[in-house]
Amino acid sequence: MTTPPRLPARIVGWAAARLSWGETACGDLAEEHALLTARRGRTWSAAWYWGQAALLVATVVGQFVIHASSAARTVLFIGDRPMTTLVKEIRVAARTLRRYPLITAAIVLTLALGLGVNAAAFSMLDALVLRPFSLPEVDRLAVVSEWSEDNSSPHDPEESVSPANFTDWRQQSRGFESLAAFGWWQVNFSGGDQPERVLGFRVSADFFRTLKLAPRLGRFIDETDTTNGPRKVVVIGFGVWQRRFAARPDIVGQNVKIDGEFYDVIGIAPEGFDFPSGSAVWGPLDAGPEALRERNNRYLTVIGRLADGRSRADASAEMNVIGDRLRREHPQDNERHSPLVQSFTAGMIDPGMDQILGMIQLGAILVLVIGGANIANLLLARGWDRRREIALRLAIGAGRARLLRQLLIESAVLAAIAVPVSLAFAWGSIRILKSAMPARILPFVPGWADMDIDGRLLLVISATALLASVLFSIFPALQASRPNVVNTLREGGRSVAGNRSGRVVRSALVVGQMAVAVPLLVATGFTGSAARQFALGPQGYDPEGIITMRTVLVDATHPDADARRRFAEQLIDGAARLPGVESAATTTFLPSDGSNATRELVVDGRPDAGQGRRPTAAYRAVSSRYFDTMRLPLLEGRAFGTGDTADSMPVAIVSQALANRLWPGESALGRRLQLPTTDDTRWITIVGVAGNIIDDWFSRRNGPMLYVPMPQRPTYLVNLVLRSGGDPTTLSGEVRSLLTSIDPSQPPIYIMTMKGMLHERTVGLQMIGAMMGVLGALAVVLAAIGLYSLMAYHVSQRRHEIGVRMALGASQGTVVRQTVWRAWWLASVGIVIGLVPAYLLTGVLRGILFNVVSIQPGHFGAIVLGLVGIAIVASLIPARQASKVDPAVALRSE
Amino acid sequence: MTDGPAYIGELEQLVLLAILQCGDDAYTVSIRHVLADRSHRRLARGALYTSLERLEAKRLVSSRLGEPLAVRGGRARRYFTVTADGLEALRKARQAVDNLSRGLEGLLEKP
Repeated sequence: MTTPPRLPARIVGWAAARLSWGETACGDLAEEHALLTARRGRTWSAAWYWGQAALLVATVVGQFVIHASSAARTVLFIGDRPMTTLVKEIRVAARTLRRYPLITAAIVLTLALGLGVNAAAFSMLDALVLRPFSLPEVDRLAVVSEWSEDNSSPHDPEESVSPANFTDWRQQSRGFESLAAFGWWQVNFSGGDQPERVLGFRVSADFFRTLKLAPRLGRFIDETDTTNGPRKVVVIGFGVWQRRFAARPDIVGQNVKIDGEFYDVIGIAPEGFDFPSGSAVWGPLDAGPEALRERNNRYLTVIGRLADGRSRADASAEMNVIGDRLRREHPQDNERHSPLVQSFTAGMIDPGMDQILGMIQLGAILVLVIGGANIANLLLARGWDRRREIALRLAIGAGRARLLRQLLIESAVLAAIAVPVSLAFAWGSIRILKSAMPARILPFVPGWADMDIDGRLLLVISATALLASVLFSIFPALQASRPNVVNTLREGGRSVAGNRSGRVVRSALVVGQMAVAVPLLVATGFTGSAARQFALGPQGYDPEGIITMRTVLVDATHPDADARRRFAEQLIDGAARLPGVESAATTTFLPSDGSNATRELVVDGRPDAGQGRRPTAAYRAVSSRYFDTMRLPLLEGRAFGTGDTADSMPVAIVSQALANRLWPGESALGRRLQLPTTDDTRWITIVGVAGNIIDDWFSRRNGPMLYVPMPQRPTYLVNLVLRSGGDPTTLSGEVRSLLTSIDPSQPPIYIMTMKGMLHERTVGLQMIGAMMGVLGALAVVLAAIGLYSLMAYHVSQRRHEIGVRMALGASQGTVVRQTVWRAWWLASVGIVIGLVPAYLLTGVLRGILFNVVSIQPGHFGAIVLGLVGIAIVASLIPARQASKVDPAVALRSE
Repeated sequence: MTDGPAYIGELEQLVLLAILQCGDDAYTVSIRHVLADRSHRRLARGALYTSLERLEAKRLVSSRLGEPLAVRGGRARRYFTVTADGLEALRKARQAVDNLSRGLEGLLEKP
């Protein structure tokens, strides 16, 4: 005898279990299979059996669909005139909700809070990550970058491509209709009245064509402007045109002064266009033969528009082939680099932004879930209170489907009330967030200005509200619509200790709330402590009492080292004489100002590893009193002095990190270094070792730094640093006039305190910390309310039992202990469950928070203790109420 | 049913007739074979089973389980018998067809 093949037989078994005639079908199929095997052979019968199994599965699926749709129809459309019935039922629902005003208000408020945080989070996610760029057909744009194997931090596609590789890509690629490149070009802009520092970009001839833009006036940059070296022409942003030139159309064709030289204005950009974020002027990129030979210097950002019919995957595959070819052809420069094609949005937003905002959105969803558990709990309690009404309706003939529908409509009405409240909450949050963003940072966060309540948000939040209200109310509704009619009516609504499954579910909800709150609080704790550390943690220098001013010299006015040195010295001398100034200095880059320069180093007595493989350090040219002014401690040797001049022996001070890296276990003093990639390749002697500093919280914490005396290597970047005995902000006017008195054509880029600079650099993280703080606080409050209401309900349902116990001799203390014990137990189970996802989360968090905060067991301990404490406090009030039950009254009331 | 046997549809008539044709050996597989052979209709498995369930619910057929069989993986066959009500329903249905066909022999007979 033959048996059917095993796998389809299992499938048949599965399907049969779901069909009323399944058992018979199973037997018949086995019998017919045996018959067929005897007649036509095994293969034939096996194939036939497979077919029959598939038919059975299709039958099961078909029955399910029919069943589900008829159930949905029953619940949604009862009565011959569905709309009239619906309106009537909404009225009934509103009346019922009014009958329980406190519960209704609590549900609406909880739902509104949960939805509000989700709305605020989604508005950010949508504006900053999902669609931060309002450019034509932005989904057909891509960012192409050079990805380096050596890079350990997250890949930043901006400023990663060399001109020669870009040129080869453009010539060889067919997947892109056009490829364009641009590079940073910050300029001193004069024309109109005051000189001003504006952000600009040098762009290739294809830039505006790739973005599919038309000029507001005049023309955009084309090949004639770039191919034989950059011509002195400029496209001006709409904002600058309005602000500085009063929107005069005749400005096109005239010239403006940029970095001390005259540039012809050839066009005005369309309104609202400021890409790359914050740009106000666009000049031509140097596409001359000399510039295009540069393959090892990577400073361009490359964007492309996909050719018709090509996908990003096609373009990516093609770029990989081109990358391989270029690696073979130029192994020296391209050995460790490969092209990477990303979507425009993914490539242009700050690395990590999507993860951070994703984390906030997830936190908001968790808050909604925790609040949802409270709503479910309230509805369960109300369902229990209403069971007599419901039983009566069932007894006089209302169908269960009809009751279920009524209860769901009540939830939908609650959601409809909660949505506008939540949007008001979100609107307020967005306003607060927007006002917290410093104006100077604003242009660099694409999409920030567009963050608002719009139709899309309304749609998402309404859908979430409906889904959440149905989800949170479905179980209570099912529970309420299934009372034991006879018993309920016979009891006459007297309370016994609630029904058992309802009680279990309510406890499970509270356990779940605690379990969800733990990972959320862990995330809150970590972001909070990272934000705190960024703003207030030790920086390695003393930012208190310091005001700074940045300006950038240009070749036209300060053509050589002497002119730049003279300018800096004049500035320092003038500043030192200002009232209240304790000391003054200059540096090329300040800590936390977001810019940096590095130099490759050759160490005396060691072989030169060659370009690209040498050790590097952040490079700063500072004046003699820089270390005092910043209160940056010198650990060994001396500071720079007046003797370190252009003509004296070249000297340098290294940070401790650099000393340890180059000469571990030995003193760095007296050692010699060379800067092979600069014009001056004389040996430099180390005369001092300075303490490590947080030069940048995100990328350069306690890293290797090399300081050289400004008079020996003056640059066009001048940052004045003043230490004041009093409030440094009072000096800003005098610093500005000082600059004007030295050179009226020289604009200050900014004048701000060091504390302000630190704040600006880390404001994003502080905002994230604050947002996570709000979410964490809401989670704790909602979980505490959940536990409180459960315990209060528990006590009210058990008054009779407590009365009996007390009549039999239980003390008030015992009653309090039992109630608190129960709360403690529920909270503990939840917390233990929550610790598992919380622990898994820590790894993810560390990555998201730039590895700044290490995960400490103390954090976990504090969160666990805090939650347990809150659980106990939340249960104390109900526990005290329980202990005040008068046995006589409790017994009589039954 | 208060007023005699229930009204039965065409499929139910065919199933009842097939059961009668099978005699003592009327169980799902044989009924399906007879239906396929004599009425040239390949009835979906589910359709046959649900008709049988419906006929049993209307008490037009009754069923009993046979012995468990190895060839059916240890499951028993369910044997069906047409009840007196079932026979009556068949007669009525046939009567109705006959009554309605009277005078139309010219049209309905094979040419």
